Amino acid sequence: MDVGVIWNYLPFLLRAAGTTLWISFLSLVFGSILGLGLALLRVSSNRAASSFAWAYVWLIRGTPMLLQIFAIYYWLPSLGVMLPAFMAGVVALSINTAGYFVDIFRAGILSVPLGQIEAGYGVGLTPWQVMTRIILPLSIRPALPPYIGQAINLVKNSSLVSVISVQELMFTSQSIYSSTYKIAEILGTAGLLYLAINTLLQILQIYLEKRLSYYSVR
Amino acid sequence: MGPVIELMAIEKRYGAVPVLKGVDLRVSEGEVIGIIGPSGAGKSTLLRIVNQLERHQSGALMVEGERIDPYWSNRRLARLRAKIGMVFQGFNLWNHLSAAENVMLGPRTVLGLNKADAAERADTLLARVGLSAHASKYPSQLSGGQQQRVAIARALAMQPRVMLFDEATSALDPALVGEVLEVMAGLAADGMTMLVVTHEMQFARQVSSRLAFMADGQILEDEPPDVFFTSPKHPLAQDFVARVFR
Repeated sequence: MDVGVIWNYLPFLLRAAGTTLWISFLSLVFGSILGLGLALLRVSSNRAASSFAWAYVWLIRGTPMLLQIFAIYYWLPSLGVMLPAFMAGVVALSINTAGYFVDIFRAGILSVPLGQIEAGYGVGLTPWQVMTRIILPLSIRPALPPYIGQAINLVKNSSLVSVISVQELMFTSQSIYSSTYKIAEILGTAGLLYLAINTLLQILQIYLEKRLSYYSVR
Repeated sequence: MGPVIELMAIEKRYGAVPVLKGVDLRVSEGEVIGIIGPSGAGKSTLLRIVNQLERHQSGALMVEGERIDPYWSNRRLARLRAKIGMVFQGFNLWNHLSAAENVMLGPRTVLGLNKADAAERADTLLARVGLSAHASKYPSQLSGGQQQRVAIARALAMQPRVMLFDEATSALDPALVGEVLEVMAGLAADGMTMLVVTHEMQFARQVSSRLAFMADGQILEDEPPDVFFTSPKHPLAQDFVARVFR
């Protein structure tokens, strides 16, 4: 074990971990917005809207993420959309993770008891008000554990954008150990950094579950 | 002045199963209609058609003289439902909101009251149902009777023209039934127009201005409670009264 190598390269690894955190965060935000929008289409009574959202999930979950990354980075330019590597990474990760968020959000929405919805209509709320004031707030609690699970997947999947040279944690680790040959030290450190990021997410989950416990249905 | 609610030849089927087979009912301002009868008679369905949580297949529903079409969207029906208060058997308080917030949501969202005015209205109504001390509690922290009283306050906060009670005490501990009936009797005494589906015969007899006895998807008798309980005419009504007071 060569601790000196770890120490020497730690600043680079930490900065790369920062990039991983940033690309994951942006993709989580955009993926959540896209996923929520698609989930609303998916549960709507409009057949075309629902089918569109279903087809999105079918396509995105059914094809490899690596393929999606390559498609966005190497194929989109032929259609005139040229994205820098980092942005292509964010787009790919957002699109991919949204495909999983759709059903996570939908499961949350469908878990809201009918009586809570009828009570909303009963006081004269419109369907949109019922959705935003009652159904969505009530779906947060049941959707939270799988949502955090997918967020953790997202952080790990962000390592795949190393293939289009985004200098995140995986890419940086590879370039360090391919010149130093200290594979165990560098990969071990990178692994611990991924674990640290995901530990934060797990702690967030525990905190949020505790905060939302007041409306657990008995 | 015309009736507040008028049902004419209302029919409702679930698939091939008829639930309401041509129901007529006129409710005038200030009347309290007790709707009683055996389970499966269609009492709850009838109540839920009044605010269109269930859509009828034929017949006419008039609310304050306006004909309500069962093909209207939920969006279009919102205005109708805002003036009809509904209290459910299972309370259906919104679990993510405190008692006061449950009462405030409708006035704020539908009536456009500002926060201070809505809060004041919630204070007043929670006091009226005897729950001022519990305003900040969540439904999971309240007893069934307390939840139902909050639900009544929530419905009243919309200042409805009519209140619908769908077996409001059926899911309650026997010991908690009284506190809810007391609130309902108070409302009736204040002149609120009410449709009350209930199995509490004593209560129905005391507060109703008219009793509608339902069986098999029809209103078989519609008369003052004393008349109904002393001289029911239809054989099914006679049988029902006999079993209730056995």
